[in-house]
Formats: sequence, structure tokens, C-alpha cells
Amino acid sequence: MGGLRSYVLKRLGFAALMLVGVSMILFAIMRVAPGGPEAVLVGGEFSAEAAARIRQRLGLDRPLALQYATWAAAAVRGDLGRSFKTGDPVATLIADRLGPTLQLTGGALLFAVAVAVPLGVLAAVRRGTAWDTLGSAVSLFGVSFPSFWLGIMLILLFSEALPWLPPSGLAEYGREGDVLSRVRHAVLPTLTLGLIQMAAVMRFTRSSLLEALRQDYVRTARAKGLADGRVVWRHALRNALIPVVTVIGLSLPTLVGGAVLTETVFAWPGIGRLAVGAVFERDYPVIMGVNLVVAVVVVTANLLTDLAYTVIDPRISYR
Amino acid sequence: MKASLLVRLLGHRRGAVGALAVAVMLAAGVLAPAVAPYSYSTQSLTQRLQPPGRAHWLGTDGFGRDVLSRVIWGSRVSLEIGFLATALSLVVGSALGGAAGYFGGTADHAIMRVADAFLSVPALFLVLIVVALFGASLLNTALVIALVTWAPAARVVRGECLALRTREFAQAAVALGAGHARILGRHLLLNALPVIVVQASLLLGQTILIESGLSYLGLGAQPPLPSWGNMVVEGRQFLASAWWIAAFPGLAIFVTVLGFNLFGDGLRDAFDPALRGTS
Repeated sequence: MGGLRSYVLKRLGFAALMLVGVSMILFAIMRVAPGGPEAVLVGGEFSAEAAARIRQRLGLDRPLALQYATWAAAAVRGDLGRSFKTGDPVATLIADRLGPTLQLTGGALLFAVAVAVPLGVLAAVRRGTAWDTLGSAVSLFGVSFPSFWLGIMLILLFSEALPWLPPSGLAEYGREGDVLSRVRHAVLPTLTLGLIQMAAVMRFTRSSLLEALRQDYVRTARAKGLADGRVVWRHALRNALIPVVTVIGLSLPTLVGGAVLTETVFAWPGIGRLAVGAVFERDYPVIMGVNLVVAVVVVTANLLTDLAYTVIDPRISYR
Repeated sequence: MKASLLVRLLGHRRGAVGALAVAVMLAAGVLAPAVAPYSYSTQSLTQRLQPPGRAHWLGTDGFGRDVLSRVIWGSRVSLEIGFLATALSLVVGSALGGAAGYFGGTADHAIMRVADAFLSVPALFLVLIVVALFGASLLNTALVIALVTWAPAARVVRGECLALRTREFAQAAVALGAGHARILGRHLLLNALPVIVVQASLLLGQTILIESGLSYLGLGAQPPLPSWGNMVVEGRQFLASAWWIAAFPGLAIFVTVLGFNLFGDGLRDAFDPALRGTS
């Protein structure tokens, strides 16, 4: 257990280092980019003095290193500053939108795993049959579909042609507490993001199970007369799941990227849309805040993925 | 050798289908001025929102512009950015991946940790920020897409060079006193070329997908020049009355990306028939 603890500490230290690096680079990128928030805030023509006044009010006239240090010192205490545009605390803006994003990405991931793992198993076990063809079609389509277009086509089908499901938003206005309304609104965006995500999980389940089925212990299990189902599900799949867990971990960044587009298509009030809006308005504190939160979530999820290995395979130990 | 590769590729059904899709899209892009039936920008209020028919095969959009012509012209932007980004990504990925695989040790460790860091950044997010702040020029967009796609390429090339390094011809080159650059360039990377070519085809699909996402968010080619992504956005508002405006440009993205993916799969199998069906 002591080995695990020092491993986790080491990883956390690494993660912290990465967060500092990423935030520094991002901070620098935003400051060297041409044009600043003053152009967006004032709009139209404005004098150089007006611009200077705004930059001074926002603290943009101070040395870059000092600006970063101020931001970082506050961020460590959970204060992400205030939006240039609305003046709202960034932490509040993000907290309000984190829930919908986690619901969307979590639902999509669950859906993807629930469909892709059994399909991957079938494709591997029934190699060369229709199941295998279906599996490779799914994985191929998944990596070739533009997610935003898939979303729009689903809206066309299930909201326009067949008026079954609402095309946008989290729930009807004023009915955010209504579970049924929330679920109905979540179906299409979750499906959109989940279908795209399915591809990688399904492909890895298949190839990794194929690999496992070639191993000696599988032959032994078969030789001692175990039923086929038991061999696949208990012996082979358990070993095949490690790469699958890796893929799920590795696909988190794509999941977040996909959420940006999916949220835009479905007017889903998550942090993806918050970020898109902030980027166009040069709302630096919001951009920094969203990225920090996303980075923390991704890094944490990666760490949890690595720890999940030890549960699946007790032979793996970290030190 | 080359001929047999071609025969194997064409004998590979999915690879051949992919090659065909890619060839059609490339031809559309290159020959756009000649093959597009109408101008991509001429508006006609009397021809607004025409459904697909004889005069306009894929219908017209909200400004009365021919959707087919715009899809054809739109392929240019997507393919230009796709090829440029892929080239940049492969150059960086092959150089770094090759160096990591060849030198091993500390260099390998350092390069791959950096690659890991890039892999854990939500790509679209980063691309969105940089393109929005610095402007959506062809070069900017391609550069930043390359920045987020070089890492997987580096990983693949590294794996290949790691394996090639132990082969006899590489050992022989070392024994003959060849320099690092020569061994890496002539002996390792040249022999890793099949893997790199396959990677190029898959990367093309991926970069085109990223570009289309950017132009969907409004960061692609600027109107009236069409890009597939912004055509889909324009079509979104007419979804109830004129589905074809959003449907066809999206279909074009899908067919192109699918084509490059199939082509890549076909190439992989043609280069190495033993690998067929394993991944």
C-alpha cells in the first residue's frame, strides 16, 4: 500500500507541474495574440486613451509575469477571477455549467462502453462473421463522422421528421427540475457524442480480446473443458480489458473536444459553449478558468484509469 | 514491387472503395472551376431553397446558391488544410518519433513524455483558442492542427524505428560507421515509410474532421468562400424546410474522411498482408 501511495503522490506532483506548464503557455498565447478584449468590450471605433483605460482597469497593462503570478496565486485558492464581459466570478460561471457537461460526457461514455464492449467481444469471438463486419463498420463510421453533422442529422430525423424528441437545451424553460424533461432533452446529444466515442472502445476491445484468446491460459481453460462463454467472459475478457480501460482514459480529451461541438449543436448549457463564447469575446479569465478545470478533470480521470488497472489485474502494482 | 502493391490495393475491396472516394474528392477540388455547374457565390432570390432537382442536383441554399457547386468548391479548403496540416504533422512526428526510437534512453523518454502531454490536451479546445485569437488563415489553422496531431504519428514511427534499429541492415550501417543522420534517415525512416504513408492517410481524415469542426464553429474559410463546416451551420436554420442544405456538405465530409480511412486500411493491408484483419 505504501508503494501505491508514493506512486499517487508522484503522479499528482507530475500533474501539478503539467497544469502550471499548460496554464503558463496558454496565458502567454493569449497575451501575444493580436487584438485584445478592449476591441470587443467597446465595439466600433475607440480612442487609444479609451483602450489604455480599459487595459488598465483589467490589469492588462502590468508585466506579463506579474499578471500570471497574480492569476495563479488566486487560482490556487479557488478564485479564478471575474469575467471581463459580465463581471461574474469565473468559478461560479463554470460551476453552473460543469453539471450539464459532466452529465453529457458521462452519459455518452456510459453509452459507448455499454454498446462497444459487448459488440467488440462479439466481433472477436465470432471473427469473420456478420458481427465482425458490423463491428468494423461501426468503428469505421465512428472515426469518420463529423459529430456536429451527426447531431444535426439526428435532429432532422427525431425532431423534425418524427417529432419525438426536443432538438435543443437542457429542459423546457422553467422545468429544469423535471427529470423526464431532462432525460428527453439529453437523448440526442448523449447519443451523438456516444456514437462517435464508441468506435475506439469497440476496436480496442476486439483486437485486445483477439490477442488474449491466443494466449496459453485460454487454451488451458478450453482444454480442461470449460464452457466457451466462461472462457471468454471470465478468462480472456478480464485480461483484455486493460487496454480497453487505457483507451477509455485516452479518449477523454476527445470526449471533451467532442462536447464543445455537441454542446454548440444542441444549445447545451455546458462549459464547452461557455468556452466557445469566451474565445470569441476574448474573455481571458473565462478561457483560463475553463481550461484549468478541464485539465484538472482530464488529469484526475487519467490517474483514476491507471489505478483501475490494479483492480482489474492484481498483478499490476505501482511503486 | 510497385505494381504488385497497386494490384493488392485494388484487390482489397475496402481499400479500392476508399481510393475511389478519395480520387473523386481530389478531382472535385482540383477541377472545381471546370466541374462546378454554377458559381459558388452568385445569389438568386428567385431560386431560394429549391429542393434537389434537375436544375440543381443538390438543391439551393437560403441565398439561392447552388449547393452542389458550393460542395465542390468547399472541398478545396478542406483538402488544402488537410494536406498541409498532415504534412506538417508527419514531418514533426516522424522526426521526433524516429529520433526517440533510434536514440532510445533519455531522448526517448523526454520526447515521449512531451507527446503524452500533447495527447492529454483536448485538441479541439486548443485549436479553437489559437485559431480564434490569431486568425483563421490557412497556415495558422494547418499549423495548430499539426500541433495537436503529431503525437500519435510520433508514437507509431517510434515503435517502427525501435523494431528496425535491431535489424541486420541497421546494425551493418552502424558497423560501417554511418552517422546518426544517415542511419536514421536512410535506413530507419525510409524503411518505416509504409507505416508513415498509412499514417498519412489516416491523419488526412482526422485533420479534415478537425478543420470541419472549426469551420462549423465559425473559424474556417470566411464567406462567401464555402467550407463544408460553415455550410452545415447555414443549413441548420433551414433544417425544417430545406434539409439538403445541411445534409450534403456533411455527407461530403463523411465520404472524404471515410475514404481516407478506408484507403489507409487498404494500404496497410497491401503493404503487409500478414496484418490483415488484426486491428
